[in-house]
Amino acid sequence: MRPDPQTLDGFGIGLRACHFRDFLDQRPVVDWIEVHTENYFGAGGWDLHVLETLRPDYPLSLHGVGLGLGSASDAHFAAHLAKVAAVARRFAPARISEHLCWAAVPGRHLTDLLPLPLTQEALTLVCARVDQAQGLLGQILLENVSTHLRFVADTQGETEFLNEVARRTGCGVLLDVNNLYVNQCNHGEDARVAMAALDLTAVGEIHLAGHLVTEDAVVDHHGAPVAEVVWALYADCVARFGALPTLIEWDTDIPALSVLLAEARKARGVAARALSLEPAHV
Amino acid sequence: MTKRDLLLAATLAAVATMGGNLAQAAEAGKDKCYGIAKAGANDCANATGTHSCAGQNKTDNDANEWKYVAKGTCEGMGGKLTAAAKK
Amino acid sequence: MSELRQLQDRFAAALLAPGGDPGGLFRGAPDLMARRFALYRGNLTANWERALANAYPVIRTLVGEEFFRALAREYGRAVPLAEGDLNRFGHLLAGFLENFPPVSDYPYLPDMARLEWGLHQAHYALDTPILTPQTLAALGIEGLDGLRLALHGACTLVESPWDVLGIREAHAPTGAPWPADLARTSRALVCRPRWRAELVPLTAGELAVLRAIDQGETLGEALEQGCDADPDFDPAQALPRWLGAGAFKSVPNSQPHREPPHERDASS
Repeated sequence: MRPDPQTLDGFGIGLRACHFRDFLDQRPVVDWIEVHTENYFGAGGWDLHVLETLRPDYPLSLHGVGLGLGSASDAHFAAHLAKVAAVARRFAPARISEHLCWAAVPGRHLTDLLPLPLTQEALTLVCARVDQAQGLLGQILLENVSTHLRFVADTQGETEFLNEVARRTGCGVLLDVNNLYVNQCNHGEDARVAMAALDLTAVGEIHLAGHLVTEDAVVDHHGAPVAEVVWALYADCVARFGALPTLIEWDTDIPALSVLLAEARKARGVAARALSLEPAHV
Repeated sequence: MTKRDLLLAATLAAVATMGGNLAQAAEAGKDKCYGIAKAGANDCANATGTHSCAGQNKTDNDANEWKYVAKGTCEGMGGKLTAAAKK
Repeated sequence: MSELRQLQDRFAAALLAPGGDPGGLFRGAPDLMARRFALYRGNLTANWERALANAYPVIRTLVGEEFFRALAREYGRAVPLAEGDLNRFGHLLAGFLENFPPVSDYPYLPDMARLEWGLHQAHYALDTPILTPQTLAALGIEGLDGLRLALHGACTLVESPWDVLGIREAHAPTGAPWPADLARTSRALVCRPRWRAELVPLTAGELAVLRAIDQGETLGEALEQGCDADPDFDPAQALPRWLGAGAFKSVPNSQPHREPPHERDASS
């Protein structure tokens, strides 16, 4: 049965160029697909053609990695947002999301999800930018990021920050469970405490990914299966927030499509168990 | 007939005989498109999704001084060229 | 300037300086935080390298991986990416290589970069309808004479005193032999019939015609210039190849030739 292409529900995977052929030939059974918005900024060509071809068969999530909602400079924001809006017009996604981070200084885009100081000034800026984005795109979801660093200047935690952005702007929160775990390791911030503090009604989507433990930091490299400890967090997450659309992310050393589909099935199983153990979420 | 007229006549004759061949050529070309191979796109480890939000686990503290020597296939192509070889 | 702006400027400046450390911004042990900061620099250079390798596979093989990685870092620092789209990273590499002393022994590299960037940008070009033979045939001699055509957005013209076409062929999976003489003129049209970016080799006359067309000359004038440049220029050879390559945009008031329906290509 073909899912409603305008509703994000169930367990999705990222559509990456190395799997285009598999998708075109086999139309694998998966609840929804996600792409990085910036990969579709081109005027035309194969990538856009593939996504256009697949779009009627899968609900689509546009996940941005370059808007830099927290960049203090205005230099890139409006132009980048306009391109996101153009991609959104073309593909009519079921959902649009971005990250709580910054990305650019005047004259230079740094193409990374850079850590934002969690201050009142940053909060005011991010809220204004989210308002601006939502004016063009409709509601967006904002994702918590993993960081290697926290700032001396921080006056609040990321959870508090996200809750406040959601409250002021009406945006949703995209909860990346792996990122919570990475930050727990890197900064000693308890992931379960963070989850318990997040506004129950704001969270609208979950991300899961693999990470890498190194000597200096845990790195959110999206290059491995989801770790057992993150599955356990995910179960708690489902118990608290209910059955939310969940994405398996894999961006480094991308394996065969069957591996991603198996991870999505595993997420479905973990979520089902968590829901059956937790008859009513609080 | 001028040279220009001859050229235009040859052009017209060529396109007129092409007829629907272009559509046929497009059909034939589809097989080649089958596994479109934008450089790097074949390789999952280096997917053309150049914009990933994955983190790297390598630091970079390299200094600016240029100490690298090209060691690829350019070495084998008849040795180094000098600017003097330029036509 | 706002505190946030100052902090981000300081962060970015340290990110772009080799071994740079914005010092004192972060909570935690300074040594560890300096190493963690360097992870962000690692991200930046890895993104640059990956994006540049995606656009310039032949150059990467020519200079070797280690050199290429360092080149990506030098280029990325010297030429700021002005937009948040890594598929646009590297658009000025040819000019950068021209003034980059470590590659002065390889004077064909800038032209190879132009060629590879042409192919790269063709991959992302707008899917504009192409000019068909039927449209041209319907115009008659007079119509053709005064016709002003435009190259398709995927197309660029390449001319180099170096055998960049031969060098590229030698790096293709088919494994053609390396060119015996590198100082041999290359002429080609970069195009994208359907989805794959390709090269169509051109004679001197053909290049002269396409260049004249690209500069806004009428077809009649362009053909004549081609003949002047190369008495052997033969429209009967050239036109079918150009049209097959999707060299031109369809002209107004003609029946546009659309791509075949997508589903047939994709799902059959």
